[in-house]
Amino acid sequence: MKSIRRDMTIWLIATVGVLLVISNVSLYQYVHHVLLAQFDEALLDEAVSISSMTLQEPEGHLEFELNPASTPQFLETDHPQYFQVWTMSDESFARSPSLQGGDLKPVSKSPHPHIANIRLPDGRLGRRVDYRFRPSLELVHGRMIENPPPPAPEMVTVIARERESLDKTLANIKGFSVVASLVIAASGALAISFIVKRTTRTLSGLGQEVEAIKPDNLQGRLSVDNLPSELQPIVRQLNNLLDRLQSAMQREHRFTADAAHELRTPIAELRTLTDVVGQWPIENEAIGQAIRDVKEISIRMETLVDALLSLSRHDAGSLLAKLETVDLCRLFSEVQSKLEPRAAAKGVRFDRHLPSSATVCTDPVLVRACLANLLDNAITHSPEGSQIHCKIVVADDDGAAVMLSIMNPSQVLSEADMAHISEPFWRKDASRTESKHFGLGLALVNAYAVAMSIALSLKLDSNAQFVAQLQFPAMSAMSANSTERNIF
Amino acid sequence: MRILLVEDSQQLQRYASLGLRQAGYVVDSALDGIEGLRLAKLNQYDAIILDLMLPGLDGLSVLENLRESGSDTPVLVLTAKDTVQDRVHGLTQGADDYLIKPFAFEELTARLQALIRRRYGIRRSSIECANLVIDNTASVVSCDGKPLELTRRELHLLQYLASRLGETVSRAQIEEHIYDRNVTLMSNVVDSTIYAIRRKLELAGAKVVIQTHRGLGYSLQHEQA
Repeated sequence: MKSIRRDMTIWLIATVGVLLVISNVSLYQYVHHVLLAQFDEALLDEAVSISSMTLQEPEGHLEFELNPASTPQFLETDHPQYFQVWTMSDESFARSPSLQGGDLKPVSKSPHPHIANIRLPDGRLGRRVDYRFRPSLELVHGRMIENPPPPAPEMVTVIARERESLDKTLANIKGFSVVASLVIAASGALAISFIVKRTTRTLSGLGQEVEAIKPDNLQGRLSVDNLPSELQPIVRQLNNLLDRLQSAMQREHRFTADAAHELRTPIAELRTLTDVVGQWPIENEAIGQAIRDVKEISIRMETLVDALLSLSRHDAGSLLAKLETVDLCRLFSEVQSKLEPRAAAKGVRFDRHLPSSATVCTDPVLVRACLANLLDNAITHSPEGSQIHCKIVVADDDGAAVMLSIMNPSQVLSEADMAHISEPFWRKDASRTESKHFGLGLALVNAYAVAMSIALSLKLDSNAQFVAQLQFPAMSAMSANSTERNIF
Repeated sequence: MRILLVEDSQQLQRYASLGLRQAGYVVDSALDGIEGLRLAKLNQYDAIILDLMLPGLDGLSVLENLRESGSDTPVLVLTAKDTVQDRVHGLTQGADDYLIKPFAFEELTARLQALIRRRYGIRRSSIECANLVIDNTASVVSCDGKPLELTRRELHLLQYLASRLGETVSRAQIEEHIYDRNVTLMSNVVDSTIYAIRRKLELAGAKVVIQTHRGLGYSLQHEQA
């Protein structure tokens, strides 16, 4: 499994290690170059010094004067230095006593000093310089003579000395560098591991908090306090998502439980009917009654299932409205006339205020269902002998916006109920004692209204009248989406 | 046995009542909590089947009210509420049993019988009295292993007397337990039914008798040797 802490630790240690190697190698190379340059410079200085000992006498011949006391390194000692002065015709002119008759032949007669490694006569590794020069005229009493001889021919001085001390110094530097690198790498790895662990401790804590939130219990929330500023927006957003998830799950559980609960009673009715009739067969009129009962129960279950399917489509966003141009007044009258007998049986009257027509662009099937639900609710909850006020108002002559209101007296609803009244299965009577209504009517009206872009408002007015309002959108807004343009 | 069925679903009430009557019970019914409570207080029932979701007055309120009034009638709660909390709440409110909708009618009658047996301290579903066996489950009475032909009223009355074996049961109590509230009783209906049962028991050679306690009522007794 991938781990941020492990990945960070590995990558940081690897990066720091590589940088450490590169920096140490570069540093060593630089030190090596500087020390070798200093070494060579010193050797060249000695070559110049030895060359300056070859002088042209005023008579014209060449002399080489070596003072052994001031140049003991060229004597026959254990670890001497060497030099030899050559003419350009490769004739040896002078040599150090340390050569003991051996030769230190020039390898370059270039005007520029030539520096190279060499195996010394005593077998040691060394450095050599081939230095070309022209001997100077010896001064007489510190002055140039008046008639100097022709200039002496150029010569080559070859000087060599061991480089073991240099190599030893370089080896010491290299060894120290490697040891220092290893120590720095080890302590760096520990420091990186500690820092990464400390830095990612917040993430680990957050991970444990998230892990503690179980799908079957979404009560917990992630703590935002003490979190780094980079994580705070993420955790806040996670908490918001948890809120929404918990709310959605609670709603879903409640909806499922309510749906199952509503189906239990009709199923119990059918089960009891079939159990009893199966055990004690019935005859004549009772058979007709049983058939009527089965039909009524089936219709009730069908109504419930249809409503649940509509709400499910609404939740899934697949409840689509087929828009047409509709006369709302005509549609309202049709629905109202069908419910008139039920209202009359209860002594409830309709008080209508409708214009001659009110054209809207909407789905006639869904609007009819909305009106049927709202009017049926109004009849059910209105006291006997009361009035239901129905009004359709057209906002302007173009039919830009149409408002439909249905208002009925309510003896039981309170202002607090308005927040829940359109929730599926909500009923004022929590014990659900009304078996003919499932508490889905207003939820369906809400779903249909959303599908048709109708603004639904459900409220209690100051006279305890329940007011349901449907505000249809302007024709111009809807006509662009209309698939059919039939006058209904 | 007289049962009160309080259930707001007309269909469920209709067929449960029909089945219970066929199973040998006398059934009164109510469609709402207020009527149910009124009947429960007014009459002596052997058991009450009570739906929790009732118009007017919910089932738990009916139950609470009933228990507060001192009634110990066994109550079988019938409801669509199926959570553990619902069941626990119902039982702690004084319900004796709980049946969740939908249910098998057989289970309803079995639980009802168990409640009634428990009420009268009867452990088995059949009552044996000398050579007479009254099978409450099958609603069959036999004497020396031979079935005894009884009308439904006779069977109910004999079952009721057998459930109170040796106890004197008043005529009013018999009327309450054997006849539902829709029946208009004639003054001698209990006497004539007792007479008919006595004759059938005698003809079958039953070693039990129904004794008349003048001014008090009747009791089922073992025949004196």
